[in-house]
Amino acid sequence: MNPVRSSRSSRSAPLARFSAPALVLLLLLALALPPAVTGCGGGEPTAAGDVTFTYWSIFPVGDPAESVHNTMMRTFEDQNPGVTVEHVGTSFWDYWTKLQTAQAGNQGPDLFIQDICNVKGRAKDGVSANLEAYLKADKIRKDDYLASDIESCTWNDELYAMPFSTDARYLFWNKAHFEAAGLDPETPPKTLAELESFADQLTKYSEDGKTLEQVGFHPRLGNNIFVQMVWSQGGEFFDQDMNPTINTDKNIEVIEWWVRMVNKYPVRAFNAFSTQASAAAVSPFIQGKVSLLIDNNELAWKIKDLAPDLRFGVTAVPYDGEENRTAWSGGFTLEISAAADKAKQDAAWKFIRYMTGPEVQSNLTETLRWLPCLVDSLDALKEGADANELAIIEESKYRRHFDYVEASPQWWGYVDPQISKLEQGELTSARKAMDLAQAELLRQIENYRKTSGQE
Amino acid sequence: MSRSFLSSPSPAGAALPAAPTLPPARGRARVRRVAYQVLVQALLLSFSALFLFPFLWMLSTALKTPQEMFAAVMRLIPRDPQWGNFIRVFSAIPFLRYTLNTAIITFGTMAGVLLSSSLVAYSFARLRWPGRNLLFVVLLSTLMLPGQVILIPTFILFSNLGWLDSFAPLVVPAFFGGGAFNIFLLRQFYRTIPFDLTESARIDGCREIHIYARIILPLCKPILATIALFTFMGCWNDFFGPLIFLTNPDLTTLALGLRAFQQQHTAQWDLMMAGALISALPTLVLFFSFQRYFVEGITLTGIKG
Repeated sequence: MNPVRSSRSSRSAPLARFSAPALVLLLLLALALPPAVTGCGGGEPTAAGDVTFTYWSIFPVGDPAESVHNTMMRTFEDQNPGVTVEHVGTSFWDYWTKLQTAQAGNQGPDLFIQDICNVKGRAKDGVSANLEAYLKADKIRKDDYLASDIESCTWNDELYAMPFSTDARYLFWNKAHFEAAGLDPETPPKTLAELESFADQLTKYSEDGKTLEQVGFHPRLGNNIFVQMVWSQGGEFFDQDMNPTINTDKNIEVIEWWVRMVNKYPVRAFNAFSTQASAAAVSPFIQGKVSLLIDNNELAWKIKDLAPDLRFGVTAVPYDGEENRTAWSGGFTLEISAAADKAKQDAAWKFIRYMTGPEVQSNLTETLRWLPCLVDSLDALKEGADANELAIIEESKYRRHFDYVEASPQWWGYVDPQISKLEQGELTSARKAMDLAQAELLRQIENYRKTSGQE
Repeated sequence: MSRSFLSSPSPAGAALPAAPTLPPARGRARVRRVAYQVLVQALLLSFSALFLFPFLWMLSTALKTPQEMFAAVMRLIPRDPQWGNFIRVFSAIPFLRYTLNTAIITFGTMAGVLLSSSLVAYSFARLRWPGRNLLFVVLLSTLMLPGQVILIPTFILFSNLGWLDSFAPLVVPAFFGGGAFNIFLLRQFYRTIPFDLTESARIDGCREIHIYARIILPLCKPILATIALFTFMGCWNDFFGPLIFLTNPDLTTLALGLRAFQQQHTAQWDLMMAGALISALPTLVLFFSFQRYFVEGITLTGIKG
């Protein structure tokens, strides 16, 4: 028998058995905590007319670049008395979650670093402020920046972000490997056919033929995506009206080449190779295990640090005709919160002007190892540059960002799984795979139109 | 004259008794038992080594130079151990400040969880009131809510309360229930305690709060230790909460602060591993100190992996 059930007293009012003072004490303890634990914030009062704005970046305390970034901010404050930058740095890998949550709760910063590829979405949603008036007032010329960067920062013909830093994709080749294979170390492949042929000559297996010792070229290694290869061959994923054109003959031709390159390497041998290479947490190109690799400019800086004796070259990703010369690119922008008050927006704009102006942009590569967006600053890097650095600067002018599709900002996510199925043999026809991707993307766009009231 | 008993001769003429000879069947059984034990111990040792390996690799990485870390031939034992990494990590980030912040959050939350979950569970397990079972089901159903679903509403709630950028969102909620899982664990444990015990106390005029504090809680040490340990580990290693709710760099916690060693394209693995090792020490010490209670608590509530 359950005594509690049989107890008259507990049946009537069990909570009354708690002493009132005890309950009050517990309640007070719980309620008294907030002031105790919230009393950590607060800032110094500022003089009338002084402005403090919050700025979020990807440079947390402990990041080697943080001190450089701090120097930039302090220099700006010295040049603009009365303006204070309240900086918060968060690791790149977590920054986006923190920023998006804060902005969703209307607690975002006044100024923030963002990804150049989806400025249009933030402009459309009213997250980022329109910068046109500032540009006109300060007579800033959009032509001073690369057209593709400005295009990515523009929504309805108006600018909502300023391009701050960028990167681009290049083909890196190991000259020692070329020599060992009897190839001219100064002549990298210029076409996909040459890339394939060179890769075949450079790939090495162990004596028993089971272990991959050196990979000539594998499209999945490095920092590469099928979009880069398709663009460089004249393929497009959207027409001028932004309708998907995933399953065109040209695209299918490049995807077939991609899959053929992947399937040159036995799955087991390649998995063992890439697992071993990734365990070392450094690019397999730096380890001397890959002869040709598509990666971004960061790789060149890393080689200088970790393998200064490595003889390598940098060139454009093989392209078919000058009009298709493309370097897939990402990059960071600086954007002002549309929710910030006018005084803070004005102060934040001053900081943007400083960060995207010649003073910071000209030193961006030396200080943060990022490529500048200001064309003059990019050109200024040519002075004293070696052949590889010149190639990095030159090719970066062919930058192109992902096409922005409102209904599906990450549209390439519909194509890549189909390519993986081809690589793994789940699908055997590239045409069928691209038809499936096209159909799925069209369905997503249709759903978006229905749910967003555009139909 | 005293003689060492070691040198004393055996009684004259008496031969030492021969070792007893086991019958063949018993001998075989013993051999089988020993072989079984050897096999079990070998298996356990192998599994221990397997689970210890990541820890050893972390220690090894913490002691390597970047060149050795990225060398083509990977070595577990560094050639030139960089013990200085354990010092450098304290200057690279405000490690002590982060530790203090983490400790404030962790111990504040532990106090809240232990106090409130034990009270709430007491009510669910030992008191009878209308809607008790229904409310318990509702409580359990909150376990099914994915964190992503409640992230923005919680953020807005704390924002409206003015608690953002403080420890309040990380500590105060612990004082209001202490978590459905903890309440569930405690309720199950409370129900194993004989009701006669508390009924006798009531008959003797003991107040409910005294029954809870002087009779029930002392009997619940194993489960309270288990919950304390779970809470400690959860808070000490919590990354997401501090990431979302804390902005002031002075309030950063260890888990969040260590992330600064990982940048977009590079990472300072040596410092990250050194920092991670140091930050894992309190958890290890606590686990081994309360291992007995922990295992007992898990066993008694029937929560096993």
